[in-house]
Amino acid sequence: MLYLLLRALEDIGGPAVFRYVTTRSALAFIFGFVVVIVVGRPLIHLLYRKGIRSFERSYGDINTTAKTGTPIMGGLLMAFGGLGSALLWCDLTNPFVWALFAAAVYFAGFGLLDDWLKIRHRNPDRGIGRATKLASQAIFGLAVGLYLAWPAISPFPGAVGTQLQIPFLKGAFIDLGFGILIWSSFFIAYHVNAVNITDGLDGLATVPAILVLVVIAVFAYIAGNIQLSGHYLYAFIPRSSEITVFCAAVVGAGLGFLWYVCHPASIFLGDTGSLFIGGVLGTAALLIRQEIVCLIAGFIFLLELVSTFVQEQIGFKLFKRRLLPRAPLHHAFQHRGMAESKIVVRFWIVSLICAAMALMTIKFR
Amino acid sequence: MPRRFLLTGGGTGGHVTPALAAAGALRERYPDAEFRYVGLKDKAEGVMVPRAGLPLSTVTSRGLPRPGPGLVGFAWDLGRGVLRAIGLLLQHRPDLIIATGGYASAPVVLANGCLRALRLPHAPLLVHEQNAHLGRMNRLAVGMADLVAVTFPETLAGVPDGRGLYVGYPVRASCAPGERAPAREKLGIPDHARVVFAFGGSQGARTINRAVVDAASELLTDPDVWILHGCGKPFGPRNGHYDGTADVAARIASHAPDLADHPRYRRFDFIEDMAACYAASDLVICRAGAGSLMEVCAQRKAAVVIPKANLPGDHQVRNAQVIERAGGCRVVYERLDPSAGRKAVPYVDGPHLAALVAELLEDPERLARMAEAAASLATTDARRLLAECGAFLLGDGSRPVTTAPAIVADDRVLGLDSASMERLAQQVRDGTMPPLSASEHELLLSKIDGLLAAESWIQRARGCRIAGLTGYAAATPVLLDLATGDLPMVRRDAFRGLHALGRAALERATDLARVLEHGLGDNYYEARAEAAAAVAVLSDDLPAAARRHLVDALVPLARDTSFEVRVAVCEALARVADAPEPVAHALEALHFDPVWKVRGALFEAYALLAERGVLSPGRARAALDEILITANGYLTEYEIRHRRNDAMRRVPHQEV
Repeated sequence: MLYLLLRALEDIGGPAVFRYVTTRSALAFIFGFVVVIVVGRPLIHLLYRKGIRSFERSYGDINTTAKTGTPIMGGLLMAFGGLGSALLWCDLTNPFVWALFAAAVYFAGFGLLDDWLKIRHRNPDRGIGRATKLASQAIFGLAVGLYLAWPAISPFPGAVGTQLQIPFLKGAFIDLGFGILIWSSFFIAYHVNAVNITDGLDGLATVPAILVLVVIAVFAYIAGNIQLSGHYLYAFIPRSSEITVFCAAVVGAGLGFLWYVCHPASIFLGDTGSLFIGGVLGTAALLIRQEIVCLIAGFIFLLELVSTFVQEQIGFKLFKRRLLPRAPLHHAFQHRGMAESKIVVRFWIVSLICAAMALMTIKFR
Repeated sequence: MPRRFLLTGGGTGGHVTPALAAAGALRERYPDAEFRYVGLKDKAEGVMVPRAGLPLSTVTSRGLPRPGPGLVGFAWDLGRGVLRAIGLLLQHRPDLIIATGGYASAPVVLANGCLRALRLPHAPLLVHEQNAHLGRMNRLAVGMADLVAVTFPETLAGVPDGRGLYVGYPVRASCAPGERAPAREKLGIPDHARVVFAFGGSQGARTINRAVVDAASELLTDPDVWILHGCGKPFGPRNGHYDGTADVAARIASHAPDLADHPRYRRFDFIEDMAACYAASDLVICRAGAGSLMEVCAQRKAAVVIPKANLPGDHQVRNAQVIERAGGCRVVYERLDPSAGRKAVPYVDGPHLAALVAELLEDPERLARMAEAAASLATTDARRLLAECGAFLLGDGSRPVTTAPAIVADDRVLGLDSASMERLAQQVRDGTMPPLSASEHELLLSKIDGLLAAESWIQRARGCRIAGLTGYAAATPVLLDLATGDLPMVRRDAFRGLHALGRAALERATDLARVLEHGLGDNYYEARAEAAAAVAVLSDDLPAAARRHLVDALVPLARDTSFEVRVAVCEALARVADAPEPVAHALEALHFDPVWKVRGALFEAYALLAERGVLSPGRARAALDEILITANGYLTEYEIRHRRNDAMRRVPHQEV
């Protein structure tokens, strides 16, 4: 909204600097961070007082080594900071921004409902059912797919909306046609679940998510800039650079959230947060048409989801045994006796390397 | 205009009987009423309904399968069933629908729900639940029902907004106790004889059939004893269903050939004249489905009841306990035949059953007392009440008022699923829960046996763990057998069970040593680890030769790729070794193990070896000093939580 106001002020002699994506991205980033830092402590206290906590299964003494009782629904904090900042600094007439807002609100809402059900039943297994969750993700994925493929509503020029870009090869792509509907459903569901599973240790999901968003922001900037996209031989997607501003806002909020969630955590993301992050990541990657790059950048998420799938669907169902020591992956390290903080930092290191590799694909082709 | 009633429910006879009873009661009230029964062709209702003289329309349906490919067939059958049921409802336009549960009633209930949602003509729905625990179908139906009549007061808690009403179990009018003398004459049984009537429901029950065959020879040595045995047969095509008739024939051929044409042993595939059999008998042996039990009570018969364990909510056990507490029957739990090993099925020991039956038959006065107690429980009002419920929904009368009897105090084991059983067993073992009472213990063992014989490997594995936690030493042969079976996680948990049993498992020492050694060579790492952990507790009392064998098997495992195995091996070696070599050498290789948990286990191992005098203190200390003590892990402790616990302990609970 501020953006629209400042653009209007330009006509009567205001500064033109707010027109630029880079300026607004920086402002959105800082603003998101500050909002979360400021709102964080009172919100944590409020959630705790309202009983929005992860709960004990047994009564009596609370475990002095566990983190039960920590407030959840930290996603509210992140969504508040990220969306608040985006609301101020994004061009609200931009169709990409609408799609991202839709994803953020849809998934944060679902996560909120799930968290609330679990707390009401005092049972972590009594949230929204698995099938309903998957269906909700697939439905949103379908909607995004339609947005990409249907010329009447698609903001993409030509067939770019249905092209799957192949990294490391110059200008190579596969045109999925209406197969994009299946692909986008799968991709959204993948991201939402992967982030949800990864969110098992303090800050384990936050930093890799921030890094993937940074990668997406860079690619969005290139795709939305006619000169850069021409120079790096990417399809030019008009107005898509606005995604950079949105990502920067969420990255700022994510860093602010990390302030509170770093070990030992004062608040957990909860399903509110993990669904919100997963939904935004998946949708943003689809909108800039860089799904595979996004998979490389978020390799940690891939590992976590695949390890869980292998363990449950292949191991238990098919071979009736554990194929991996434990799943998801971070749990296997815990089982070996590795301290939480050590696992988390090592995962961050790996995801930093993955993000660097994803950025490398710009030049290495 | 005559009233039109639509009855539905089935799958097993237990769901059909109350529907037929309700039809009978409604016919008395509305003599010109028209009835129609909707059910499945190949199930109990396909036989029982035409015999009762009611027109039967068939639909398709099936029980809800586990998540998986079976869901497609389920959806197809149920979908077709619902469409057909919509057609039937529109064609017959019933004034009232009475559903008695079972998946056969699903199409009609859903069809009626659809019509209601579409604002098309539909009928009020009266649901009757027979068991103490709401069945899956009825849980769905409750949401759409106008009135839910229940058999046991416990069920009312699951029915919302006061739509539940306690009525009891409606038994058929033809179920009034018959005269003994004519019945005996009809069956050709002399008047002075003592008659046992055994049956396992309309489709037969394996446990009862086999137990009766096993007990019969012994019982029939008494020349006054006669046995009437309903074997049961599957209604539809036999695909996978238990065939009582064939099973009994096979059992007689293999276990009691003299029964084949014994004059005082009568075998029936399907009992046409239940009333005569009841009337002629002195004692009944049956399952504990609500239908059978209530019928036996209404017939004034003493009974030996064999409930099927581990059904949803343990409803059969619950039903049986209600009658037993009143003094109306004796409950015998199913157990596992330990000699049958892996192929074990639940059974009741023949001689044990024979002894109990003989003891009861000896004492006619006691039988009479039991019969009286049973009769006092038979809720003869249920038929009338159910008809009144129907009338109320038709707008012909006021809602019947009933007082539900007090809920019978639960025991802690009753109704537990396997996961809760494990939790309870663990808590009792830890002392955080008071010990089990004798009856709770007996039921728990029966339920563990049920798990050990379960189809699902997950249940079997859990059965092994619970058997260990409970100290169920008699299960040792089964555990030993499962420990060499072909399911990896069951093998693992069999060793876990043996581990928890500890010394109690040592009765079969030779087998045990062999199985442990086999387990150390298991190709599944968790089974190896648990086998090694079991060696650590069980090795003390094994003979020296077996111990040496175990050491030889353990030493190469110190280089196992899985750290869980290496950890367990450290402790096992420390306990089982009687000489410093080759153990010390094997442990030395672990001093710089990458996983600190292995190195952690080494400290304990060296201390034990030194204490047991296997290693000299000097050598042990030198080794302890060399082990790498950096680690990736440490324990987080939140000081504030300690303080909170301390404060909570000091401030007493407020009595409410």
